[in-house]
Amino acid sequence: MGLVLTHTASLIWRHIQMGWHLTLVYNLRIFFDLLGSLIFFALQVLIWSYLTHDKTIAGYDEPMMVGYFSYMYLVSLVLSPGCDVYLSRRIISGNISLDLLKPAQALVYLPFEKFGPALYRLLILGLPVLVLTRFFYPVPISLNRAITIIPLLLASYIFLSALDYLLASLCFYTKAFWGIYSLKVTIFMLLTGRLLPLEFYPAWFARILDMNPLALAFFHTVKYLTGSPLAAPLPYLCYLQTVYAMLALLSAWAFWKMGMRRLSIQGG
Amino acid sequence: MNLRTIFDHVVTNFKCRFTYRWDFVFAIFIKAAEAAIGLLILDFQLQKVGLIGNFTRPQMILVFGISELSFALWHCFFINSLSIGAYIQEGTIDRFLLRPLNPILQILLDGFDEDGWGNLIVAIATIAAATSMGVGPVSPLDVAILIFFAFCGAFVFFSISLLLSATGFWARAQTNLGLLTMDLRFFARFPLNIYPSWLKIVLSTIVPLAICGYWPTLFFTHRRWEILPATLVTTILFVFVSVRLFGIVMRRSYESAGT
Repeated sequence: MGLVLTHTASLIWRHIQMGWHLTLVYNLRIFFDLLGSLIFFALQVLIWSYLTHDKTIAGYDEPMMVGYFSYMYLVSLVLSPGCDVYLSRRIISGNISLDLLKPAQALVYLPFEKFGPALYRLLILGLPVLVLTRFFYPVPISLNRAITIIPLLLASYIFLSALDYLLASLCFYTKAFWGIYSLKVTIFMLLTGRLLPLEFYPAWFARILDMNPLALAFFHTVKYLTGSPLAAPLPYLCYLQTVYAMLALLSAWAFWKMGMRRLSIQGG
Repeated sequence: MNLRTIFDHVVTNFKCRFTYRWDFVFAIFIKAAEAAIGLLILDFQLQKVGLIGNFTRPQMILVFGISELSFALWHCFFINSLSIGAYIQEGTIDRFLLRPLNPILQILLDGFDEDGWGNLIVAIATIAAATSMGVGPVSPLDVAILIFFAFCGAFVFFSISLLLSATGFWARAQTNLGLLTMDLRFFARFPLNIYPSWLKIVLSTIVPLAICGYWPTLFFTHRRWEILPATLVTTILFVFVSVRLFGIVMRRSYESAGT
């Protein structure tokens, strides 16, 4: 049992390393990625600092709004596993059969491989932007909060990876991958608070959306990191997100199994 | 490259899309929903913020509609410019360079996006809604001018995506910078007068995003006719410079996979 666990942990670690190294293969890409991130973030800050200059809107003043978008940007970089793009392409092209032939259940370890690029985005793209913002705005940075939020972030990462598998398994039925991807982006735009804090939504609508898993992953995480009061205690939010993650894992597993029944592989 | 070849490419692209008919419809529907939710979020924002850069709610809706129209046209016809980085990474860009046709045109014709039509539907509906609120195009001449603005905006988006994707020649991979074009449309939805003056100049000349929403709205609300020639000249210059720069970067930095 111990040997199996050690082997599994070693495989997980190797997949994370593999994802990290694959991202760093292209040296100059790091520079251009960072530049793209900075331009996007700077424009977003300019718009919101104009809108909230010398006034408070929906409880947000200028530094709070900039802080909100700084952390939202950071969390968005980490919580985008991107397994759906990889899996969908493999399913549509039929190359998924190659993954199934591998002995180490490559598909199970995919979220760990994608954790490498997530770390790259956090360290190379996210943190420099946060530190740079700190020079201009009093954005709260707390190591204590950064550590205590890790369980919620991990549960959210599992939930989002499961969601990726669930969406990708739809490609067993349709080839409209970009349609499915756009559907995901659309849902994320509305439910996460990525474009607009939930306080800006009409009160009845915000109440409905408040405890959805995507709001827990993004909106509430950001609220906690910026030091704003939460709608519920953090342990409760972690518990809720873990339940969502388990349900998503079960659904993804069921959908995947159903999809796999439609897979027919030619050859001997 | 004669028009017949372009036409054949376009027809082939559409035939490819129609091979999976329901997928095509599904993608259009989802993209329309995405644009509609973008509008909904902007409306939530307007309800809390009030005026943005002295633009009223109908005027903001018009800016959104026009910027979405430009973006939709770019999405329908020019989206493949974003794939340049991927072509370089896969080593398939040689294909376009070996043929006796313009490589940029070939890249654009190599793949159209089916779901951009969804954005187009919402954009037209939004502009119609803005017109019913008292701003926006009314006469047939206005509609012709709107089409002119929309294509100019689409060419601006194309030039931006071409320039940003050219960084792929240095990085030899698809970069986030190329994909920034998709995000820039969010900034075309806001009036230019909310930005600092240096940025206003940048967004009117060096990266003329103003053409994609702000200038057309100023034209329809204030009837400033000088905007028309300014839009035309800026678009032509920007496209010309982008294509030239792309060519220079490609010639100097691209190394073929072959010998």
